[in-house]
Amino acid sequence: MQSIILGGFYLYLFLILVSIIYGIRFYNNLQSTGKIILTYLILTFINETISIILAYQIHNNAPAYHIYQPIQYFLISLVFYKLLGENKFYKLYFYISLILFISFWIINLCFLQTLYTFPSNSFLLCAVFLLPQILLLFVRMLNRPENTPLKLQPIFWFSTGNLVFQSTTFLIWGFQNILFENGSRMPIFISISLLAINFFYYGFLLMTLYAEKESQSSDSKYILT
Amino acid sequence: MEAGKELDTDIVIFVVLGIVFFLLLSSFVVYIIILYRTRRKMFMENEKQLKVNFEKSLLQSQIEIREELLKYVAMEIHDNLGIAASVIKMNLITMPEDLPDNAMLKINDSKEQLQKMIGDMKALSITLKSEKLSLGFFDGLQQVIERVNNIGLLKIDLTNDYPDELPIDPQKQTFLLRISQEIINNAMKHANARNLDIHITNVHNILMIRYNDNGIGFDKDRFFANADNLEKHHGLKNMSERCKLIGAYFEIESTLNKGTKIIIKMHI
Repeated sequence: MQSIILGGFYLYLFLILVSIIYGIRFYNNLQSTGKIILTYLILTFINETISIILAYQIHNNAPAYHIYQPIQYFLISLVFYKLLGENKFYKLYFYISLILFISFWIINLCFLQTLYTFPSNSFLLCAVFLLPQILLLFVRMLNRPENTPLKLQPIFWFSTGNLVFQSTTFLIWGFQNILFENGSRMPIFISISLLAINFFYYGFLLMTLYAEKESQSSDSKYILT
Repeated sequence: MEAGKELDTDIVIFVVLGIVFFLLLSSFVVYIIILYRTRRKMFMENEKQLKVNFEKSLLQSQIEIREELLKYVAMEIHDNLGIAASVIKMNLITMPEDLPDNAMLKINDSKEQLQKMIGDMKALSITLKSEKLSLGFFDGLQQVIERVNNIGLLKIDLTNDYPDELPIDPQKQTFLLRISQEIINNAMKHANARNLDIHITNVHNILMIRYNDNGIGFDKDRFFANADNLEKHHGLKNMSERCKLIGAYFEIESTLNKGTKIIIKMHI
């Protein structure tokens, strides 16, 4: 079973790599949001590679996730900021949630889930802070319908991918926190669920880049920003 | 053993919760998609309506500008050319009568031609002025037909099976007249027609005006397939747009060397 999960993990890394290559290939067709997503994908790929090296070397990849957590939250939030930043209440939300998240991340790292413990608490808070932004983006999408098919709307792919990913990870990490003690090994079914949801999420991010490239190259005004 | 059982129960709860959660999440996404599609449809309909309204107002302004120009031309014909022609006529009338017979013959002929020209200019001026269209479409059309028949290049036969006053507003009547003028003009200028039959009928409150000429006609499919033709000869497009603007149906049928047939239908 472990080898299947490992194979799945490599496949997941391959999917991120494909997305990165696609993003670089059509870099000029991407808007600022697409470029942030591309940066996010590159950093995720590096982080996941480090995590697997750590897993082989010291049998614990938690430090990689600890360090990457604030970067990940900042980059995803930045995409939302680019899309929703015109709303002054959202701007306030963005800054406050960022400060709160980083404060909690430090507290968590120092006192609750230290460097060699998986930072599930921070993942939970990340989902809690991102979900309202995702819903706001859905509201914006519904309030501003555009003359382009849904499959070519980057906002749709980005919002749906994040909605499913963040709410599922919230459920998974919440379950993990309640049932298993800190530092205990992750059950197989949780690993499989996480892998599946990661495939889904990064597939949707690839679709976001594709939709952005398509809307740009067809000289359409319906772009992500 | 007890702890293991408890864990199994918790896992079952997690799986059940997970399934319920996924069902809810999927329903939410499907709901968003349906809602978005509904709103997009409404948005596109609104956009279409706005476009139609914009085109209508644009056409309306173009027509108003054209009407103004026609009024100006009519005024110029009446005030300047008409007066100049009258002065020439007065000069001819006051010519001494002891001129040679040959000269007198030419002067009398010029007087007649001038009189005819003044009459034509007056008729043209009246036709061009849209205020005069308060006479109605039928009277306006009758005037145009008389004027064209007098010139003698084209013979127009009008059959009107609907002699009552048209129950449509004067502006729409102006539009109908302008369209008819354009059709007559095309028959003379482009089709080289010798005869034009105009037939007006009313069937179940639908006014139908049919125009049949015996001119050279044209290949309709080839004509409309060529974008250049529509650019150069925008008369047909204008007629069709004017009809659209007053809610009338416009149809044109033409075959090379077999004349042109135009039908306008309108609810009254």
